[in-house]
Amino acid sequence: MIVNKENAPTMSEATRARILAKGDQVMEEMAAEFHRELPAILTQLQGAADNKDLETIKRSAYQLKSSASGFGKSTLGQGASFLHVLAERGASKPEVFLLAGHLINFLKELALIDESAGYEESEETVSIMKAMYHELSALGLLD
Amino acid sequence: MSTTAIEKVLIFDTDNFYRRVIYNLLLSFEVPAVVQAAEYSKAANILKIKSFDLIVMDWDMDGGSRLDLVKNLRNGKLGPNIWTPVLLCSAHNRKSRIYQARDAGISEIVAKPVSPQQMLDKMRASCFRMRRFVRSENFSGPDRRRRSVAYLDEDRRSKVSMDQDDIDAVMRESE
Repeated sequence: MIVNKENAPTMSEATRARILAKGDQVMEEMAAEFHRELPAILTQLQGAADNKDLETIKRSAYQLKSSASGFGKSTLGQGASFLHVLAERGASKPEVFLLAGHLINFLKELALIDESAGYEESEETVSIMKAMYHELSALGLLD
Repeated sequence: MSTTAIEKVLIFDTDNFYRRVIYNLLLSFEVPAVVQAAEYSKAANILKIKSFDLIVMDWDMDGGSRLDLVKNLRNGKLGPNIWTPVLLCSAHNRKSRIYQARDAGISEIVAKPVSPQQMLDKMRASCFRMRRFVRSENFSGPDRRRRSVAYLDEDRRSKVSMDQDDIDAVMRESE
């Protein structure tokens, strides 16, 4: 059956409110789990950088960028995205681990920031983000 | 009929944690059958044999499989789901990406961070406010033609990164 605007099934306000309340609870629980796991992800990234383990950096950075963005930590997600690009495409670059170390230190700082309502990136954060963007661009790692 | 009237959903996301977030959210919406795939090959194999009411996928895929799934879906290479609505969750909403997703045959896009309300609304919009499907030599998927040049104002057209309202305007240009 093709369902469209004209014959779309309706949902009562009470039902909608009930399932949205359940959804809010799920998101709260998952956000709490993400925040509990965040220090372990950062520790794993640091360990991988110390061991020059690019594959683990790539995997953990990918997990971090997806989850951080999903829970409103968009600056942290963007930083993790840079690290993921670096690990994915920068294996042949001699400065890859130096840059990865800088980025991981930056991510640790970003992880401490509360990016909830009203948050605005500081000038320092913006300037580090721009610097990272230019570094990766200069290495030819960005689209 | 289930609570949302959406019975069968496939979630395709290579990130285990965020896939679990969406899975749990759909269970809280009382969707009766939610199937998960973490890899392109698994998602493709499932789609070849099972039909779904909705596919939810993430833009940020590991391994370069991003929009291949939806392109192959719309081209009929993945079995019975050629018309199945596809809802894309996306964190980095550069304008070029939004157009790319729309032109690949994505039905709706929900910007991260996703709230339950946005997710529910986009799921229902994907399934019950479907854009007309077009099938031609060069494109198969929800109609992406523009109805009117005034629909997207100049400010929105010139934006590099888009918010949910901008994304919705792009996705519904054809209405």
